[in-house]
Amino acid sequence: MWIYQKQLQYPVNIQRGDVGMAKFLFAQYGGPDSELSASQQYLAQRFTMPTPETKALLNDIGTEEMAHWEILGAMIYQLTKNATPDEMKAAGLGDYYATRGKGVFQQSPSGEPWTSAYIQVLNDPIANLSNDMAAEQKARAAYERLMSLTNDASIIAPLAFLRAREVVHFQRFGEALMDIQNVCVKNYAKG
Amino acid sequence: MSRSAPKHTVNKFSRATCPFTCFLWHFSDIFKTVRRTVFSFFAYYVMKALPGLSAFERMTTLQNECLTTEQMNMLNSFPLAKAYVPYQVYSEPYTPEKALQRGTMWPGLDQPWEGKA
Amino acid sequence: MTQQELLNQLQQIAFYLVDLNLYMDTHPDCPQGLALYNTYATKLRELRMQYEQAYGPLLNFGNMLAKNGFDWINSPWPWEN
Repeated sequence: MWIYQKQLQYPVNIQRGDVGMAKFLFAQYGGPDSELSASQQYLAQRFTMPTPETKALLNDIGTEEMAHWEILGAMIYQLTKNATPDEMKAAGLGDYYATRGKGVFQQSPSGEPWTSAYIQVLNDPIANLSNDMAAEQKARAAYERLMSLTNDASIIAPLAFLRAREVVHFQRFGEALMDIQNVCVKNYAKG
Repeated sequence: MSRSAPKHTVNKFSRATCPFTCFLWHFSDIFKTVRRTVFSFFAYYVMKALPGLSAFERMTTLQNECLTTEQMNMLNSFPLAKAYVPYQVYSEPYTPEKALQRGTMWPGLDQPWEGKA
Repeated sequence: MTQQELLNQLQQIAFYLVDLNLYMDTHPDCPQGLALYNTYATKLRELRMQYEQAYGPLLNFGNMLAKNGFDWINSPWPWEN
């Protein structure tokens, strides 16, 4: 089960409000390739993973993705917390404000609620890990697009961090795939 | 975008004058392929030369780690229809302070985005 | 160390250990990684004890002690700046 550490994995100190950017950040908070999708995909896949390494990895990366989802939530919160209704409207979150005020709801930038239709949880570990590698690349590309949508260093820093994590996760899932793929590897010490 | 060549359709006309029309049809397939290849090379170099065509250029710059012939030959001897990711070999990690800033403790996995950041 | 300095150290070491944990998940037989893991895990434990003594708990559900009433509920919560 999960206990909670009362600290973000990476600091978020947004310097000034930006409702428009907050709207874009929903992509990684509740969109198809969001941290929420990643965490739910990996944590559900771990139940049927065949080896100790793959169970541990899916468990641990899934847990880390929850921490990343939290970072996105903190960014959206800080970017909108002092916004007036007019500012919400002007930046394209008028409908959102009317429906949810300034709550941080799990949806895509265009307002679709998050759904498990965004993720893949299969029994086949090769299919699962291949999907996970794809998810990491999609997230990596998403962070690049999000960074190109702002010049604010206090927003770019956590996005660059999160992008770097996707690169590492891709490597780990690749290593896990090597572990369970049906290619016999004799006497290779994983050290 | 479909990359497969159009199938050779046989109709009354082509059957009647088959050798010539067959030749033309295959020739035009080859021509299409040549044209496509030339265009994509052209597009590649044009995109690389022009500044700010971000997505394509960034995609190609990510691929800029050159494998030797020997490495490719090795890779090509592996069983087909599988994806291979090299195992990371232990190397001296960053300090914790640098690791948080870079997003990883491993220098080999520190692969920053070269785009606007 | 001030509270902020302690928190910064904790953030760095905690992140380090997450990254190292992922490495160890796929390299369970790596001796250097294992030694590094235990060294830093010990360091994290020490830093947490220091923080807990001076400033209260960073972990819930009984994983750290409540020293000044039930101070778990107090700010700052991580999303507040």
